[in-house]
Amino acid sequence: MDKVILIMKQYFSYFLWRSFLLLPLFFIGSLSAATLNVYTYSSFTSDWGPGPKLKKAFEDQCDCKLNYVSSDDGVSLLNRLRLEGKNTQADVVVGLDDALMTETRSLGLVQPHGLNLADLKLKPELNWQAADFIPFDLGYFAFVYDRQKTQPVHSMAELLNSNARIIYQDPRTSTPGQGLLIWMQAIYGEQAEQAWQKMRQRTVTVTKGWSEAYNLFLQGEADYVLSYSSSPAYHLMAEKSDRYAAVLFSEGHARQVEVAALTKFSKQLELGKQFLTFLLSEEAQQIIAVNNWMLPVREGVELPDAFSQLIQPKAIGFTPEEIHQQRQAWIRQWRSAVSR
Amino acid sequence: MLLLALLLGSSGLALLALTGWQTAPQVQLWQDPWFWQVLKFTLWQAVLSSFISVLLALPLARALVMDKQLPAKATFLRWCLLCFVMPSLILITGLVVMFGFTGWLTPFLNLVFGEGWSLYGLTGILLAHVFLNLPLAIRVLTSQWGSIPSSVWKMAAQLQLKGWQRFLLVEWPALRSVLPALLGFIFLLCFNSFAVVLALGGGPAATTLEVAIFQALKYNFNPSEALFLAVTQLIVAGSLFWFFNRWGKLEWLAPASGGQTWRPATNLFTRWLGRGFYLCIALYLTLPVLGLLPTAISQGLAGLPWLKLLKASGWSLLFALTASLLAVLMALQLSWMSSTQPAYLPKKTNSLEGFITRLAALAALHHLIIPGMVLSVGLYIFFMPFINWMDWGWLAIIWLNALIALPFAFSQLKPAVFTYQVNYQRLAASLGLPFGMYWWRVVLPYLKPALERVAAISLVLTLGDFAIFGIFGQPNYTTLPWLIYELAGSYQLAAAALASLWLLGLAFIGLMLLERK
Repeated sequence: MDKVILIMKQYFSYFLWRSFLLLPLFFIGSLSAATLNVYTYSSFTSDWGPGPKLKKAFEDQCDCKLNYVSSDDGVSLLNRLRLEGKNTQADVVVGLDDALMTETRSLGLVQPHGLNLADLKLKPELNWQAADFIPFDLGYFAFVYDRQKTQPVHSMAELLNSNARIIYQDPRTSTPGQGLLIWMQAIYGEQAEQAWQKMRQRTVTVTKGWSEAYNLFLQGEADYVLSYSSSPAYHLMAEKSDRYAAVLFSEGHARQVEVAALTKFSKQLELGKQFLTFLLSEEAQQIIAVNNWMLPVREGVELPDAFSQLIQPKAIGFTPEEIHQQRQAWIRQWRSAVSR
Repeated sequence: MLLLALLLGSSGLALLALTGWQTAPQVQLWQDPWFWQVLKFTLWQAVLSSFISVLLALPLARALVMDKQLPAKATFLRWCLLCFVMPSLILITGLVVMFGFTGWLTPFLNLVFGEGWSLYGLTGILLAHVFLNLPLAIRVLTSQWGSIPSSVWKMAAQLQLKGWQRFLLVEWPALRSVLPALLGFIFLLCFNSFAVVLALGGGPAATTLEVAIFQALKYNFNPSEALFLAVTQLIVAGSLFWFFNRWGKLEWLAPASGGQTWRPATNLFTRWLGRGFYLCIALYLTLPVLGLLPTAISQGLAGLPWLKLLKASGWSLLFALTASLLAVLMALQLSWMSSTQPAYLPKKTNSLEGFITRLAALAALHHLIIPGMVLSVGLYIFFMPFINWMDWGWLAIIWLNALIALPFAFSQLKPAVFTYQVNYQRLAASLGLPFGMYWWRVVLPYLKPALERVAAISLVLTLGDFAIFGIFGQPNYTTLPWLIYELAGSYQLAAAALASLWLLGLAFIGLMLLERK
C-alpha cells in the first residue's frame, strides 16, 4: 500500500514539477545536497553492473547525490544527448566509446575536462591525448561460445564459412554492434559487403542491445554471440564455470575504449571533474573490471586470477576520425547487405 | 473553431514538416537498394498476411453459418472481436511463449521443419498478422454469409442446385461485394504494422517502412531519412486507403446475428471438415493467449517486477484515459457541429455553415488516412527546434493518441447525435432549459449508450498504443506495451507474460463495456 501511495505521489509531483508551481521549492531542494546527473547505458546501472557500487563509493567521498539516467546502449546514449541538446540534464556522460568520440565532439556536446593526463597513470598503449574525454575501461570485441557444445573456429573467415548460428547487436544502437562493423571493415575492407552477406546467412537475430543478445545466447539459441574477450571472466568468477570462452581470431580483434566526459551544458563542473578522477582511481577501476567485465585503463590495477586466463588479442581497427567519416557509409552498407 | 484549428493544424504542421520545412527529406534514398528492399518487403508481407487471413476465414465462416450444431459459436465470435482489437504486444508475448526459441511447440516444429525453425522474420510476422486479422475476416464474412435470406436458400434447394452451383449463384454474389474491401483493409493494417515487425522481425532483414522510419529517427538519428520514409509511407498508405475505401465499408463491430434462419443441410464430410477446421482455428486463436498464464506463474510470483508493472499500468491508464476522454469530447463536439443542419431543411451547401459542417467531418476523419507514425514523426521533427521533447513528450502522447482514436469515435457517435438532432432538438429547445441543465438532463442521457461504446473503443485503442510512444515516450514513464516489449526482448518471459495478461485484463474491461447491450 505504501508503494501505491508513493507512486501516486510521484505522478502528482511530476505534473506539479512540470507546471512550475513549485519552482521556489525546487530551488530550496537543490541547495540542500548537490546532485550529479550521470547519463549512461542500462547494463552499467543494472543491479549486477558497476553502477550501484560506484555510486556508493563516490557518494561516500563527495557529500553529494549521484543520479543515473540510463539508455539502452552506448549509441542510444549519444542519440539521446543529441536530442536533448542544451536542455539536457546530464552533467557527465559515461559509456560512449572511442569510435563515437569525434562525432560527439563535432556536435559540441562535451567540454574539456581540465585534468592533467600525466597524473592519471593511464596505460601507455592507449597513448591517450584527448582533452575532453577520459577512458575508463577497454575491451576487445570477441565471439563467445559454449565449450560443451561448440568446436571453436580460429578466424573470422572460418566463422563466416562455418554453419554456426550467430547473434550480434545492431550497430545503430549498440556499441558492440558498431564494434563488429569496424572489425569487419578492418578485416575485409572492400570485400566487407560480401562478408556481411555471409554473416547474414549465419545470423539468428540482431538485437538492439548487448544484454538481449547475451541472454539469448545463454538460453542456448546460438553457437556464438558477439561480446568481449573479457566476458568469460564473469562466468569464471561469478559462476565458477569455465564453460564459456572467447575465440581468438587470427586476423586480430577490434578494440573498444569506453569513455566519459563532462557535457557542454553541465551544471556541476567541479563535481563532474571529481567524478571523472574517481573513475580512474584504483578502487573504481577494480569495481569496473569485475562488474562491467572489461579491462582497466590504469596501470597496475590488481585483478582476480580469472582475468589472466582470458585470450590476449592483437588490436586492429581505425582512428576515431576515420570511423567518424565512414560510419554512416558503413552502416548503409551493412543495412543493404543484410536486408537482401 | 479553436478545436478545428488545432485538429487541422496538427496535421498541417506534420505535413509541412514532411515537405521539408525544417529538415529536407533525404531524396537520395530513392537510389538506395535498401529502400526498395524495405518497400518490397512491406508490400509482400502485407499481401501474404491479407490473403492468408481471408483464405483461412472463408471455409470457417461458411462452417459457422451452415453448421447449426457448432458449439460455442457466439463466444467464438466475441473472442474474435477481442483478438482483433487486442494490443498486439500481448499476442507477441504469446507467440514467443509458443513458438520462440524455448517455446512450447518449438521442439515439435523443429521435428517438422528440421533445425531451421525460427519465429523471427517473415514467419513470426505472418503468424502475428494472421492472428490479429483472421478474426476480423471471420466476423465480416460470417455476417455476410449470414445475411443471405432463408428464402434464397429455400429457392436454391427447390431448384435442386448442386453444391457448386449454389455457391456460384447464391453465396458468391453475397461475398463478392465485400471481399476486395476486406482484403484491402487487412492489407492496409499490415502495411502500417509496427509493433509486430519491430518485435518479431529479428533484425534488418525483415523491416517495414514504419519500422524503418522509427529506426531512422531513434537508432540513426537521421531526421531527413525519417522524413523521406514517412512521405513514402503517407503516399502509399494514404492512396491505398482512399482506393480501398471506395470499394465499400466493413461491418465488424455489429454483434453476431442470431442465425435462426433456415439453412440447407450440408453433407457429412463437409460438416466434419468444417468442424475440424473450426477446432484448429480456435486453438490457433486461443493457445498463444492461454499459454501466458502458466508462463506468468511458472517461476513463482516473488521474482516478478511488480513495482515496474504497477508504474507502467499507472502511466498507461493515465495516458489512455486522458486521451480517450479527449477523443470522446472532441468527437462529440465535432459530430454536433457536423450535424446541426437538420436533414429536412434544404442543404445550403455553399453557405458558411455548410462549409463548417463539412470541415468538421474532415477534421475528424482525415486521421484515418495519415498513419500515426507519419503524424508523430512529422510533428516531432517540426517542433524539435522549439520544444524539448524529453519534457513535453507526454503531452504529444496524449494528444496524438486522441487524434488516432478520433475517427473511430466520430464515426460511431455521429449517427446517434444526428438522430438526436433530427428527432428531439426542436422539442428540447422549446423547453427553454438553461444550458447546463439542457446538456445534463437531455442530451447526455440520450447519448449515453453511444458515448460508452465510443469511450470503450478509444480506451482499448489508446491502451495498446506502441508507435506514438515509441517516438515521444521516455523511459521514466514507460507504458505497459513498451514494458512488455522490453521484457519479452530481454527474454524475461514470465514477467512479460504477466504484464501481457494484465494489459489484456484492462483491455477486456473496456470491451465488456463495448459489448454491453
